[in-house]
Amino acid sequence: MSIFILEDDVMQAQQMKRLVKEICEKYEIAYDFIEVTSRSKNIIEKIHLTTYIPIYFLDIEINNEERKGLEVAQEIRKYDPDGIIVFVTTHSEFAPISYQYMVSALTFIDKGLPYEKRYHAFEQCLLHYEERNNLDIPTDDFIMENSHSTVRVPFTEVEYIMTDRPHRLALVTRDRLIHFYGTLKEIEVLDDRLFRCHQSYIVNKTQMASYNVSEKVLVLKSGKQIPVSRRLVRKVRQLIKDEL
Amino acid sequence: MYVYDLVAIVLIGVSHVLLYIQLIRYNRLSYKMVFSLSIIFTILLGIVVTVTGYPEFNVIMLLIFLLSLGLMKDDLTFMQNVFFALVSMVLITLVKLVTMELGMKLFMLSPYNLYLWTGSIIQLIVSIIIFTSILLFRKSIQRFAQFIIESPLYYISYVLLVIGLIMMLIISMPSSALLSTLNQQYGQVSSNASFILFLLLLLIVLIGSHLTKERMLEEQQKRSDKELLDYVRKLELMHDELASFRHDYINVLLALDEGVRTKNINQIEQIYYDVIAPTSTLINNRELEIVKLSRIAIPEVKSMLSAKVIAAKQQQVKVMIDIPEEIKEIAMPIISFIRVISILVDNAIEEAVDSKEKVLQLAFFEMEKEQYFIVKNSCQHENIDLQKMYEKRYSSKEENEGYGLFSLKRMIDKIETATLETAFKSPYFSQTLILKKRS
Repeated sequence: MSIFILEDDVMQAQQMKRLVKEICEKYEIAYDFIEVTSRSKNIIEKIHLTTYIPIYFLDIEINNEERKGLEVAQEIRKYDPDGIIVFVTTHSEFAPISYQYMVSALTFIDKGLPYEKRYHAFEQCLLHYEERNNLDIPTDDFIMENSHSTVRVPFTEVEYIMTDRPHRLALVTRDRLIHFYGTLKEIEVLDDRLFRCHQSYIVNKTQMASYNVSEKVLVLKSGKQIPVSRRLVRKVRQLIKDEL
Repeated sequence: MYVYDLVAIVLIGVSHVLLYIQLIRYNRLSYKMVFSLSIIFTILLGIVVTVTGYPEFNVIMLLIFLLSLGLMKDDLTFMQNVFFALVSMVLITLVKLVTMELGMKLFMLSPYNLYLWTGSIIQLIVSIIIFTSILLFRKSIQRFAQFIIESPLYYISYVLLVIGLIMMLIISMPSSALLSTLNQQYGQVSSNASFILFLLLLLIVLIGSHLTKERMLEEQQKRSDKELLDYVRKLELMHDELASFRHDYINVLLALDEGVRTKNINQIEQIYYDVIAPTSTLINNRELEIVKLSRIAIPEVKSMLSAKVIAAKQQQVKVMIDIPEEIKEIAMPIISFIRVISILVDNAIEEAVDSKEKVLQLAFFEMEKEQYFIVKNSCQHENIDLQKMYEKRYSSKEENEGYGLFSLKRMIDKIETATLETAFKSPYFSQTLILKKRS
């Protein structure tokens, strides 16, 4: 496991290194090396030396260039699609959303935070890093891609997908609603855990909780209700039994 | 009765309804629906007129039918409804009358023989022309209708239309006793008068459409002027701030210079805490956020967003703008993009103003295949039913009519490459518009 720190202020760089070391000792997180540098080239050159998923702490503003950190992150992503990227920045009261999408940054840490809070933030990142490296959880995403849209959501979050209008679908999760172009036909075949319970509904089998006989609807774990075709009621009830 | 006649009559019937629908700007009916509705109505009318033998029904029933269509549109007053119904009836009938007469006259001048079916053919051609021109000019008709009800021409044309309606009743070879005597007495006069009326109405339409164009240009100009002015004002404000900061900064340097020369650490410390440390708030001041909008290379989008951001700041909302790279083009038609994002941003500002945190975050960036526009705001609600939000009459506010998100979704639905993601994690509500780029 390897840890990279990109920071052009020597004082801050050393501070950060001390902090990271301290946390690693506390949780006995093993690492090959901690590379502290102010030049992005040094990081890129060493990426091939890493054995597991590395973690990068990048200052957004390097040599007074406001977006240098982002450029470096994009460069890193070319060689290392899985590494964990954390941006360290001044005044990040609110993290730029774009970085999370563009280089899948894990999070942002504000340099201006009081020591305890900053310690906690680094702690969280390093614990996440250890978890990723030890468990090696394969990502389980629902991915739908056609010529008009790409939708990607962690599979466990998907509750159901419904037809909204002709060729427009709505994907529903506990706290999200996504409207996109597509047909249920192409969704149906994506995963065995999906089940077409109605002409215009596909449900995630793992989200089913019960079948409400009086209202003739399927109740999900979140309490949401979706209709069921009459001829599929028996199948749905069997599926719920199996899931339990 | 030739089949041409039948087609022509149906076409005229459809034209009446179509023109009326455009005039009242009721666009919830699909074309299929309009066609089938008016075809059925025309057939019904034909049956009623033949059975009863009173051609007056033509005029009266059509008027009632159009008026009842108008009831579907909520924001239309009764007088306006009557006005537009009259416009649709009188205008089309007059145009038909005059062009047919003209067509016949022209035909007489031509070397061709006159047959029994010639009149039917001319009628068919006329009705096709009327129908297609309504279809072609529907956008201008809508704009014209909007303009005329607010202009003085409204009253003049109202009077003319009422006269036109009476004349139509007289000319249409009526069977009721009163009208038929009138027809005998004034039939010829009326048809001459209808010609004059036609020219008068044509004049009004021409003047009106010219004025409509003028007024639209004016409004557009005014709007862009205002947005530009706001932007310039903001820049001036920032410039002033920067100037005063520079002034302070030089003073600070002088004071420090003195401290350093005399190696008076106490004085340096004091200057640091009193003067330099507080400037960090100035530098962090989000006033500078608006400058980031300059990374959008599309002027309409930039000025719209800057106007909204300024408005949000005036209502004490903290605005953060996140546009890391230059945006050169937009992966959907600009006009609808502007409409979509202005609804998104307006809603977000409205919610943010009422919330405790008062935060609004805008992000606009591109990835390899997609363009992302994200609006995130704090909001006061604990629970939001995301699906209900897109329903027609839903609104978080009682007095609000709540068409915003409904019409937003209707626009998005029409764009195949658009994906709209709505998420709520208390207290932040966010909407992400993802546009797949053409590959």
